[in-house]
Amino acid sequence: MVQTDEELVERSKQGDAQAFKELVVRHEGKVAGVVHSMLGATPEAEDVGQDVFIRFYQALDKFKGESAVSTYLIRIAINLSLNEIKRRKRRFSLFAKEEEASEVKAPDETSDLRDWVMHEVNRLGPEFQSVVTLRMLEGYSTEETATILGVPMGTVLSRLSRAQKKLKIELSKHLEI
Amino acid sequence: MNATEAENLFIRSLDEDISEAERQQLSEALRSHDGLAQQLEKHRTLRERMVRKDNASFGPYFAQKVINRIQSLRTEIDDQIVFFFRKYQLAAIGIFVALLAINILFAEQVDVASVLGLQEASTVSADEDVLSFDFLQPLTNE
Repeated sequence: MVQTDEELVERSKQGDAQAFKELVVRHEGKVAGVVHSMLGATPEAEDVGQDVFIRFYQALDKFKGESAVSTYLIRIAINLSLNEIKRRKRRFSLFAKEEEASEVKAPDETSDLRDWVMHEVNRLGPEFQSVVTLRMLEGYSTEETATILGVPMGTVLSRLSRAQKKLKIELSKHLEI
Repeated sequence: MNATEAENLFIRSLDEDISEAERQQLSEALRSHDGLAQQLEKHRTLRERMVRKDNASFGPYFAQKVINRIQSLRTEIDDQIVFFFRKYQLAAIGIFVALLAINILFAEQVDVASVLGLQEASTVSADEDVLSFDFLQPLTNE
């Protein structure tokens, strides 16, 4: 019999590692999608993915089920990915000038569509990046995006609109649209 | 409605439902602005092509790796607790040994009870004279 997320959370709270493992298996795809969209399929992405579930495990006692497990996990994934982006910029700025640090290396001719999308999304800035990742790349509804990020719907819509215009200009030549 | 307003409305329609009146305004704008339909179609295509279609994953054994890290984290915390209390344990042992040494030095006879401080320090024996003191008697210089 398939157990609900809430049942697995309750069992995990009582120290059942198998139940927590089941939660990880169930939600790995969604978390991986968000983390990869934010950071790319890099070695740090898996570390961040592990950290997401470890943070969730450590916060199990505080988790009262007001929001869905997936919403909670995606929120942690977005926050940890944004932290990783900041860390990356700090690392780069140690070796490069400020303006170079903010520039993400551009894909080359051999890069596929996904690389170009990632490149342009990364250049949008963190507040746009999280909205674009959830709504445009991962396909969450506008309402779900607002709930996960804890921002009003209007904010999500205005960020999407600005990002959409920028991306259309930048990606038109690569997407052949 | 000019072309920019129509573009903004179209982008909004990709993320939320627009009213019937707005839909009609958009249709009218499309009729009156050449090339607008093509621009709006680019927005729609961009959206469609950006959506992730593959199933993302962190690779094999990801769940087991998470469980292993949680278990090693627990061990780490246990070690930290033991380390935290180790200095207090050493201090407690030091105090215990010092007390034993003091008891041995001052004990009249060395046995387990006196060394562990279980013997009563002083008792008044029955045949010892007890000084009587009459509280009612006034104090004099005599």
